[in-house]
Amino acid sequence: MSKVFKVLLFLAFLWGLSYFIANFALGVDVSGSIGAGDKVAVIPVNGMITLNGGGSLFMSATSGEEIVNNIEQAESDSSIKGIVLEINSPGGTVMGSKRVADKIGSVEKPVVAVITESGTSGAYWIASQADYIIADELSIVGSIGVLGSYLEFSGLLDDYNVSYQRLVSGQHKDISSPYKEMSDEEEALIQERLDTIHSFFIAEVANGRNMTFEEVSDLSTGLFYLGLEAKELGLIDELGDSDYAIAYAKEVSGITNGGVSEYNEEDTLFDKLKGYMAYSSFYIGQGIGSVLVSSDSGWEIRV
Amino acid sequence: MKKRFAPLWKRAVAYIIDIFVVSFLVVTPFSGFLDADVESFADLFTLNFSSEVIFIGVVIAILTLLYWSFLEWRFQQTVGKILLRIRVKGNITLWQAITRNVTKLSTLVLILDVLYMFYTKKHQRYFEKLSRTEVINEPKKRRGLF
Repeated sequence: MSKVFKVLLFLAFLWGLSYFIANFALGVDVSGSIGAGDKVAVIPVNGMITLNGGGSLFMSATSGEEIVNNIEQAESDSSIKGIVLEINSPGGTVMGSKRVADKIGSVEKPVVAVITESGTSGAYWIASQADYIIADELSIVGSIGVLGSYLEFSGLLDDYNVSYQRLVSGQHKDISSPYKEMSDEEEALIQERLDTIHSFFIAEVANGRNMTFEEVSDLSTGLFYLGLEAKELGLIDELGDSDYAIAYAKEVSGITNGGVSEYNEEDTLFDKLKGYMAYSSFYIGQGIGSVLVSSDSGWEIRV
Repeated sequence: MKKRFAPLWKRAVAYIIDIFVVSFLVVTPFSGFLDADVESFADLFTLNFSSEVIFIGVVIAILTLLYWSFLEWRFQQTVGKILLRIRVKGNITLWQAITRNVTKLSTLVLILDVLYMFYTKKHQRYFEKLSRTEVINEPKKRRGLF
């Protein structure tokens, strides 16, 4: 056996030994980190929230499932004593937001939500399930409502002598199709479902914030509030920033010299390009974007 | 055959290569665990390092020493030395190998050890002199890796 081969064999052994000790002998979750003693986890909630992330060419989305995975990792890491959700999001889909909110409600460790720039709609739903909410005095908070609006092109098609050939099996199969005018009956059916989601949303916030359904309902016109107003209305607990939220989380978790474990999102180059395009075309392209990437009806309910 | 002590630049480059190799083999598997929030020297005296962090530090030190000591004991060369065609002179004992490499566990101690090299003709570190070992250029007839 040549010397080089023997050296390589030894190097492989050394690596294997290190790997074994790191991952099995220590018995510690490799996705976490052992810092200086106990720590709090900081989990970001950024951008529009969908269940599986992805978004579209024009808009980046963050994955509710990924956020839940991060929370579960923080839960199972014995060195993590508290969780800080750092929120900067306008909301997202119903299921994406609900998935995260349900998970937070089940976490036993202290959870502190800090709203940085924006925590509205589904993002506020998520925040409302935390033990404590902190926001800046000028953060955008609230917007407790449900959005199902979309662009309808039936008039435009008529102008260009393009007709919508309706072939369905099931009377309401093409409900909310952007290529035809919505009937009063269809509008009523959709509105009924939006109202159901809205009531659910209100009940969840009321439960999370220890308020009555009626108190939250009065605030649930879809209007957003500044942090200052939100505190007066009971939608948040305290004014502050991320650093304060981390310090508070350490205090309630009983950590003195604890560190911070950040669960950062990893962006690919495509994600960065999407993000840039999203900021520059969001308000114009929202309706068009939903047509391109959503279901056949080109319609999505958002909170 | 005339002996020729390995020049300092070759030894330095070989050391750097070995550092990369050790980092990849030994430190990388533990990298997910080592994330202490140390921003200043003062933090080192105030942070409560968990027992796991201390244990990992000890393990990395042992494995690092194992890399250098075992390879120089069995083959007289580490990966860096193989690539730069230098070697530890003669067959050395395991104890000699450990002694000459123990200063690599501490950067400060190693610096002091290396400074001694500038005062010796054989370019020996102090602990190399203690262990009675030297680093020389690889003899010509033994050049080649196979």
